[in-house]
Amino acid sequence: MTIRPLPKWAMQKYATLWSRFKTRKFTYEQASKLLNENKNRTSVLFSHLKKSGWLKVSLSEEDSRKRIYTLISPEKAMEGIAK
Amino acid sequence: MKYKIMNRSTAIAAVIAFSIIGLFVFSPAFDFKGSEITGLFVLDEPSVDNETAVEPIPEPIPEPTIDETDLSPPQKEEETEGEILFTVQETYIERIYPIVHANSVHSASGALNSQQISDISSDDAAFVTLSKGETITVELEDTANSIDTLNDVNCTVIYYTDASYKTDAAQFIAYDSQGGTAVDTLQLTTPSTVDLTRHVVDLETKGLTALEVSTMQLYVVNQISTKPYSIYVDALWCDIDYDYSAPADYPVFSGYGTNASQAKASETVKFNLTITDPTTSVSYANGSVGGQVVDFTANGDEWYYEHICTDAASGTVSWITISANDTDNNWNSTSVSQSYSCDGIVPSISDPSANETNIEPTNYFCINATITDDGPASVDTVYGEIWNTTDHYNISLSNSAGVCNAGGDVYAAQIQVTQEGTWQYGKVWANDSYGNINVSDFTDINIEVRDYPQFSDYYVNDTLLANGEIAKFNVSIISTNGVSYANATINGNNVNLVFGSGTEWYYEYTCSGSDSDVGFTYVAANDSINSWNETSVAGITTECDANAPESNNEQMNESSIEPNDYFCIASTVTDAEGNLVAGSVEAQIWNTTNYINISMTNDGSSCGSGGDVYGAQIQATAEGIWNFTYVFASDTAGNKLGKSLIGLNVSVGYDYSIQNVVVNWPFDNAEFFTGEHFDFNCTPDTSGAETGISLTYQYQIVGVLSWTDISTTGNLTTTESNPIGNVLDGTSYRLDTLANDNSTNIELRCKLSNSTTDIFSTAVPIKANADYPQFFDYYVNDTLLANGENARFNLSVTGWKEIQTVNGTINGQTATFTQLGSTDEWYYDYSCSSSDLNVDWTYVWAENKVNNENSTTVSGVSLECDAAAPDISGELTTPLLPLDNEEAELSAQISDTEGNLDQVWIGGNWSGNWQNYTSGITNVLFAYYYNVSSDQLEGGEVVGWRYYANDTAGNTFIGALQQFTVLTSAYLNMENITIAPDDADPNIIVNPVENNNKTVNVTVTFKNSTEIDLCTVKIFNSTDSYEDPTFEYFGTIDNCAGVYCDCFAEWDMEYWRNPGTWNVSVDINMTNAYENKTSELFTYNELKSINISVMTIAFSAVPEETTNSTNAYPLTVKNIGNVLANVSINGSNFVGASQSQYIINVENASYDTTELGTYTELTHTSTKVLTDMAPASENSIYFRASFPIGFIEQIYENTIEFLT
Repeated sequence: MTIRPLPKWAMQKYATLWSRFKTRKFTYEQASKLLNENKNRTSVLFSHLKKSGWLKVSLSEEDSRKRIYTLISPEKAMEGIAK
Repeated sequence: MKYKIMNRSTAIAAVIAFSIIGLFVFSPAFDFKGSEITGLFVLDEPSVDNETAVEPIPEPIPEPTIDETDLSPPQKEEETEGEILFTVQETYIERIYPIVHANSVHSASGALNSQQISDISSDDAAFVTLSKGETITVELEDTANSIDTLNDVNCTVIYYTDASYKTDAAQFIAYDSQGGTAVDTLQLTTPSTVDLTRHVVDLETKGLTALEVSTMQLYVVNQISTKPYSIYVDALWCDIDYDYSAPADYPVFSGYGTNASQAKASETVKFNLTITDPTTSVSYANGSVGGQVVDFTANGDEWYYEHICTDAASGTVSWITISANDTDNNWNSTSVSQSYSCDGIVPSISDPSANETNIEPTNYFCINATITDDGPASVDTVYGEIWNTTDHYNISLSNSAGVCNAGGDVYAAQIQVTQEGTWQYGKVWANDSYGNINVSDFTDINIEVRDYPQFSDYYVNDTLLANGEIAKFNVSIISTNGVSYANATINGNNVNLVFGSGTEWYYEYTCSGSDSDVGFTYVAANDSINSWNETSVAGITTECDANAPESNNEQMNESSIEPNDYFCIASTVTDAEGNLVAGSVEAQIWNTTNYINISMTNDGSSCGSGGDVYGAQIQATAEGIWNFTYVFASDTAGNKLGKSLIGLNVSVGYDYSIQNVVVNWPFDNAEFFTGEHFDFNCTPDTSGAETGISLTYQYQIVGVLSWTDISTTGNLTTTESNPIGNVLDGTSYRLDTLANDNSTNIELRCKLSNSTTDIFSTAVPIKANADYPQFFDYYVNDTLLANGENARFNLSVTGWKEIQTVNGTINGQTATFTQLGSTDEWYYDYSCSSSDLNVDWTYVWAENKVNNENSTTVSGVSLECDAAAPDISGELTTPLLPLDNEEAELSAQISDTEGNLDQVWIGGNWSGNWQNYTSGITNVLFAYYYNVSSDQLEGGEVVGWRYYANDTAGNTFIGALQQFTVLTSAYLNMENITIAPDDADPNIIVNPVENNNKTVNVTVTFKNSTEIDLCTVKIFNSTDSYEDPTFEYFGTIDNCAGVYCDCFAEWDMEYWRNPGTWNVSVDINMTNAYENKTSELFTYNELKSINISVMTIAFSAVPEETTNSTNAYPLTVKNIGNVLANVSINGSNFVGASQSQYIINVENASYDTTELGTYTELTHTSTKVLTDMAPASENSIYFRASFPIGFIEQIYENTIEFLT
């Protein structure tokens, strides 16, 4: 997947998320709480990260209506950007 | 069949008709009153079984109260008064028959008895014949002491006389016991026949007052005839009238005693006595013992009480009274005087102690304890328990003064320890004289017995040391366990002592720096069981005199004299420690043939001597060059001075003057190495020589050769042949290496001689060595290389022989080093071409030109090759086309593979010219950002920029050139957003539709419409509870009127979308502008609703059959709302459709959510069947029914409610 660079505001939030979750799964609520953002802004961030290839989305095994998120590592992102 | 569905706002109840078709007979056995009681359970009140009720327990009758303080004996019965006739006891005859003794005075006491009386009153043989002069004595005695007052005593005697024995008179006389005389005289008449006469004597009236011992006498007092006269006493009795007291029928005490005079704690002492009762038996006895009234126990007539000696009873325990009662309740008591000594108090043990905690074997320590005893008995014996490492002892402690502070209450013992280890003072026992024992707790007092090393015999074997000389500090250390190590403080330093022999331990002090007071001040030692001892030491010192005397300012006062003249030599000789031995100062003089030693003095006698100046006057007795070659001196410590002197000589001769000859040698202290040779020459100073004098020019290698003419070769080879002659031109000679080892030490001298005089050069010491390359000064001149950069690995390789090759191992490869010119330095140039974090130089070896090799490992010399420059990628301009009124963010991803990223900077032309910027760059992780402010951007301007980065190794990377065009900003204004559900709720509340969609639209009104190219509407749910909450629609732009234009978007909200607040976000884009609003909200209401698949559940069966539903097997329930649903059902009885009196119970139907599960009977109670059904999900319920016998064929219907 093509990974596009992030603007600074998104990169800073990505760094915050990465410092906490690394490659572990997390939920929308966990991210929103960590970033201390209202959920609208978190939605915008997630949309941006996902479009830029920094965020992967999967369905929850327990409740398929819910979504689970994982970040790609900075190293992989770097490789993807450099391609 | 019927079906009905009820819509109750948010809940639905489904009513299902239940039809049964079949022929059967059914007798209803029970009747429910209706569905109104569904879920209502009536429970009977619990009954009470009165028959099993327990009868009340009557109140107990209180025990009679006994006043134990009233222990006085019962009163004697009231005295009665009356006449008692003593006869056999059984019949109580008030008549007594005294003992009658004829012709004798009888004083026997005792009770009268009928037997005696019968003796008298029986046959003739029993008659008492009283002859003249004879007396019958009658005694009365109240042996039972039962008569209180004697009122009247009448004794009757019946006698008769023999007619043949008449008498004139006989007198019957009675006396009382007091000796009074009461005479009752009977005038006897002489009967003609046997005359039986009764006569009564009233003894009481005769003065008898008591009957303790009363006596009557009957005798003939007046003999009428001289014939023998006798009377025969036939019977005699006395009637006694007295005041009666009750018989003495009380318990009688006797035989008091104890079985012990003393007792210890818990011991029993028995108080005993004998209690008898005259008539009955003793039933009870008590007594006052130890201040308390206690009951006595019977053992036959013996009664006893066992007193237990206790702490509280300690002292004299006295038995002072005894009381007893008989079975007739006659009570008696009396005083007793019995006692014993009770000691119920054990000795008290306190303050156990020991006076030592650490002692050595064979020494003594004391153990103490304070023993007191508050009881009657005194402390008798005291023992202390001593444990050593193998045995256990009980040691007797004494309070005899004199040992271990014993005395008074302090008991002590002195113990000699016999072995090492931990000795423990354990428990203490104390006994008193009554046998009371007390044992203390374990004292936990330990005495460590250790054979600590002992020190003695300190000494140092030398009190003044020369440089390098060794003094031995000694100490004797004795330890039976063996000394494991010892150390000492010597000259302020802590040093380990060395074991010598026996008990000797020593330290060898080497004199290396002058110190006037090298003291042995402390010693310590440890033995094999870790017993440590230490002590200070005093008075053991030595002096270190490390400096030899010095000689300076050596002088000769002449340089040329004639034979037999005198010259002076002088030198200033001092000793830093002042230990110079004055008589040791000597000079060595070469007198042309020999070296002689001359004593030098400072006595002021000659040659300027005095003070530190020592001199000697010498007569030059031979021609030639006299040399002052050495000054010798020594100090009292033994340091010796031997200073070699050069150039101090005097020429002794008459006819010429040769000033000097020297060895021209390139070194002061030359060393040869294998294969080497060195050139030298002997250069004479012949400036003052007379011409025509024949001179011989020689050299000498002392130790190898004798003086050798220059022309000879030996080990010497010359570069010129035959240099000998009068021309002394400084010709060089070559000396080859003498040996390939380190052992040869020689000297080289030159000699110039004429016919009478020899002049010598100063001897040059030479040493021959083997030669191997030696390595020094490894280093590399750069430790971090960029790609293509070189670093030089350097070292110095030295040797007397020329170095031929130097190689090394660098980064695992052999590296051939190059000599830097003709210096000792060698180098290898390493070029960085591929990244390597550790380029190490690990080994070096070299060979000289005589093939001697040497090698060594190298460590710590390494470098890093960083051949890769940082990488720059992912350059991004945010926004892609910045407006002239907004900031442009220029970013790139920058990293360095080796982690050596050093500096990042950016270049760009936004200021008009291309400039590089190092400040203002920030990074997040590896992403770097630089912001160009809007005031630096002009619309239409093309901005170029790129990032640069270098690493610490010096590699630099230039990022790709980026460009963007600055857009001119435009005006845009979004004025109104209208959200309208299809039901046009004014509050923008969207109500979901069951199992369907709800259409919602947004109308956005904005200005400047003509250039707007995109209107994006997004709807998202702030709760994010369910499926992707965001919709995104692209609105259509229409209805433009003037500067206003609308953007319209419409979408369907599915019924299962989660309820709550939804946001509407509108993005308006135009070529040079962008605006966003997210402030509009709407509420999507909550919807609870379910749908069931069939309206009627039908069964068809015959009686006694269980059958599945024909159309609800299963019945499907679907959640058509947008919240989780729980579904409950309850039913009613089945009522015949045609004949309603037939009612089948509701429980004849059952259900389950799985076909093969456990079916539950349908009840009148609402029961949860499905839980947490997700919106849009479906679940199944299977129905069955069983039909009873006896019901007619018809349709039976009931209603089932589905509730959520």
